[in-house]
Amino acid sequence: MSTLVLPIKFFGMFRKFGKQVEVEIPSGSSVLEIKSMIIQKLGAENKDLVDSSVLANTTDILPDAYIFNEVQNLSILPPVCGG
Amino acid sequence: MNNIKTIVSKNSLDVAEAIDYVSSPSHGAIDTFIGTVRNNHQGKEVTGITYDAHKILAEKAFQEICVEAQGFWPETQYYVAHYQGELEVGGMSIIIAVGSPHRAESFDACRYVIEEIKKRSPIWKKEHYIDEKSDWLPGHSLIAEAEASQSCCGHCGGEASGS
Repeated sequence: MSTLVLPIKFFGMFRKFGKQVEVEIPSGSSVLEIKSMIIQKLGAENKDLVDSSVLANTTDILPDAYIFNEVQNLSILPPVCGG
Repeated sequence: MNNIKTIVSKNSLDVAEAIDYVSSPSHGAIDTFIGTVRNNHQGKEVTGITYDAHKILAEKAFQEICVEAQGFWPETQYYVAHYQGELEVGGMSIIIAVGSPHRAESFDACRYVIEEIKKRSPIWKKEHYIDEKSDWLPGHSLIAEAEASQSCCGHCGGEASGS
């Protein structure tokens, strides 16, 4: 099975970790599996923040069941508070 | 042309542009909401706020919210602009203008748009305090938006799939 390296840009509270993180996943992984890898990279103390956040590609917010079969530019979006 | 203009910008917001956009000979009302940076929050003295935004998705969320509002209040016209970057106290962070034939629908629609933006738009605030500390503010999770997303699951080969 091929692997994918996905860049994930940070926004809001995630900015304290830098501009982005890269995760290497098996092709066919889901959003939920990627969020688990992000928790591994950022530390278990950030689990609640990651769990309450969503992944988005350049045009859409993605459901947890979304499957990745190719490289996409992603963002992780923490809880929002605009206005 | 759906009579909706949405902007996330690093330039200063322009109230005159907002009012001009929603003006129409058939409109008897324009309601505006302007959000500004307050000098205090939960007992802390605030000196400014940095607004972070996912520009593409925020503008898309503004559009979706305004289209919903047009469904509730037909014949309304919308201008929504949000600032991206750092503002001092008193700075304008958001302008919403709604034009409509009569006043009731412009008041109601304007309130609807700002309340939905706060819950659903990918924008974040970092408050700066007098003691030079800063905090990102907590907010509303977008998980409900993700599960309602039109994106395909990725399995079925739909347009938004990852294959």
